Amino acid sequence: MLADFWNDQLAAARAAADAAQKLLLVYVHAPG
Amino acid sequence: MDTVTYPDPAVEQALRDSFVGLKIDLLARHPDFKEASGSQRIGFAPAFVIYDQGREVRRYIGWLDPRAFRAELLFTRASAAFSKGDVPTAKTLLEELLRDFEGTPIVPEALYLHGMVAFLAGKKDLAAMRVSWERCAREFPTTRFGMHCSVIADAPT
Repeated sequence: MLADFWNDQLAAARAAADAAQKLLLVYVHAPG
Repeated sequence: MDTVTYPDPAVEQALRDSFVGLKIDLLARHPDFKEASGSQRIGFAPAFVIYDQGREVRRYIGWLDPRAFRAELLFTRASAAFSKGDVPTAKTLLEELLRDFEGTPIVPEALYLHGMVAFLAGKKDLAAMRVSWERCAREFPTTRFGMHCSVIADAPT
C-alpha cells in the first residue's frame, strides 16, 4: 500500500525529493 | 486513482523508485495548496503537478489506468531529463517507454520527444529523428503530436 508514500506537508515532501534527487509528484484529489 | 491505479504493485514500485509524493485534498483548504499547485489554478481532480528541484516539469488532469500511469511517469522522467540537457537519459527512458508501453495514450508525445532526443543524441541526426516522427505522423495523424511530426515530410532527405 502507498499510504506511507504520501506526505501531507509541502516543505517535507520538497526536501525529501530534492535530497533523494527524485521528482516531486503533487497529487490533488477530491475524495468521495 | 486510489482504488485502481495506486494499489497496482508496479505503479507503487515506479512511484517509490523515482518520486516523492504530496497528496492534497482539493476541497480541504490545505495551507500548502496554493504553493504546491503552482502558478496555475487547479479546479478539478485528480490533478497532477510534477516538480524537479522546484521547477514544474509536467501537469495534467484526469484518471489513468495503472499501465497508462506508469507510462506517464516514465515520460515525465524523460521530459525532466531532457529539460536539464541530459539527452542520453531521456533517450533511454523514452526507448523503454516505447518498447514496454505500446498502446498507451502517451505514445504520440513520446514519439515526438524521442525524435528530438534522437536528433540531438546523434549530433543533428535527421534520419534518426525521421523514424520516430514519420511513425507518429503515420499512426497518430489526428493528434497534436502527429501534426507536429508531420512536418518531417518537408525535411530534406
